[in-house]
Amino acid sequence: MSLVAGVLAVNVAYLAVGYALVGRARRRASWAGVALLLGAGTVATLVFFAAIAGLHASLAVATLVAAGLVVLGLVGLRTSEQRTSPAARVRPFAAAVFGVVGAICALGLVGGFRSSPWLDDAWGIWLPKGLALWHHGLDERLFVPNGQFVAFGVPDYPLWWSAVTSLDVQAVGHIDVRVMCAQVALLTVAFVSAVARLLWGYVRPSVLAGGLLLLVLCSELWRHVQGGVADLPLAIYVALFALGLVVWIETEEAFALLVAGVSGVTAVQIKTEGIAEVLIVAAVAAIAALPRGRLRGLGLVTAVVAASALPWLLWRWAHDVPSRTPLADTFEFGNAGRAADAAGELAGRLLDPLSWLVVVPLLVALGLAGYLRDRRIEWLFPTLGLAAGFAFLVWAYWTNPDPIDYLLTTSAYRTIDPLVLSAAVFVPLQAEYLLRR
Amino acid sequence: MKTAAAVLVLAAVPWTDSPLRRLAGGEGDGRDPAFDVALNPAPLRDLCDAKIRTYYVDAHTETPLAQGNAKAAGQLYLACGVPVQDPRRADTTLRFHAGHFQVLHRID
Repeated sequence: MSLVAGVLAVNVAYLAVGYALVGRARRRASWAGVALLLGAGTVATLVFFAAIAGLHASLAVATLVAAGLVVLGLVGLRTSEQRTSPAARVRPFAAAVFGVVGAICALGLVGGFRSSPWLDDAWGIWLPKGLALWHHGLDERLFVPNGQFVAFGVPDYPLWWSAVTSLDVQAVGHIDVRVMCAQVALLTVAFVSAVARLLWGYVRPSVLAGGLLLLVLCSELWRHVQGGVADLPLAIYVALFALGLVVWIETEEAFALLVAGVSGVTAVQIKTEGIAEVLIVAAVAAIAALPRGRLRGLGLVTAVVAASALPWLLWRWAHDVPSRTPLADTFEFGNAGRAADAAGELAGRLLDPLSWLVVVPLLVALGLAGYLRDRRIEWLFPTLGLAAGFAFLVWAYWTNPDPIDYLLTTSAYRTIDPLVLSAAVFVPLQAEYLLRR
Repeated sequence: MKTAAAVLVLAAVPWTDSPLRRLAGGEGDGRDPAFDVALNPAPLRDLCDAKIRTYYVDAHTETPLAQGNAKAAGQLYLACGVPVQDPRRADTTLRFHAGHFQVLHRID
């Protein structure tokens, strides 16, 4: 199969699974982004779990998983029917802005299919791991450092992104590393579409269009698409987890919990920092949910997400694969200078207008403006989440044993992705609240 | 639709290195990785058809960066096999030198 046909075939299968999961009322074109992200999240997560259980991460296994999920979605799963969204009249200006957003996404998609990842970790670690999962399964000769075989680097990283890209290569039929950028591009465009769909009716179209335009105009977003970096899928699912929880708190719609649950579980399977990042989001959401008495659903989803980390943690424990950020180093205060270096570099990246425009400062400014006007603390919750995520990243750099300059230079520009995309999701929401109240 | 069409038309204008052309992938890349060093992976592509089981890549004359790229190329194109650290345990031995792979030894 050609690159385009192979990658599209895999993603059509994800889409079918997603549409089965979202419920009958949402089986419309406007839900395609949500469906694709749910389908890719669930199928590849279960393929990864199957590899942990001893199977190979092959198209055959993925097909069985997808078929099972479709049956579950069509027969067993009862998601709530879609609420009637408030009527949203799209004025010509907003329609024009949506048009620009759509065109930029279309170009970004084309760019994804035409790009070979510039990040050497993508073709040097993530994809080879996925191919090994296909040929050998989770073979400890390759996935656990040893003296006899050449094992992969960063053995503590979970393998969702490896499984996804491996399935793409299998469908294409030969090694073509452009599948990585093509897949990130599809997930990114699906994310933009999903945010639009989930906020539709709650945020006025002009504000929503402006918020999405701000995101897709960020050059760094598409640079990361063309890098094939795993941090971007992680960011997409962390941000979708946050958005799902917010919609749950606002509407108590069970479907929002499904979105949050699948997104949170998927984020945990992408990179080691995923579990910490979703737990930070859940903690801030719990503070927001407390006055409304909506902790039960949130607690349930958080428990499922946390439990989904266990299969990989147990495999690592059984095979003596330690974390590269040992908790014991947390209290090495002699290394405090590393924290200062990390904080400076991360803040610089987050606020760099040439990379991420004004996404992060705008969210903070909107929160402060709302707080100063209403004197209500909930305006500051998104900023609190950002601050907590920032502090976590500083801690991660502080305790990592590698030289700090090398570490920051090679990764700080992308480890902030979950913070930026989460901020981007909240910009239109905060702007709407500011205009409404 | 008009604004979308306008953006797409702008992207088609052949400015050198315009942001929209970069967004659409510029001149476009091939199917192989953008290696950090000169590296021709072509000889590796067909080796999996020959059903290798274990392999060893000898790149000791190269820089650490080239050695890393050769290792990664092996793990990418020879995923059907398992790379070993001792050449005596390999059914296929490859030499990587000056950007080229050469099959030195193969046990069928």
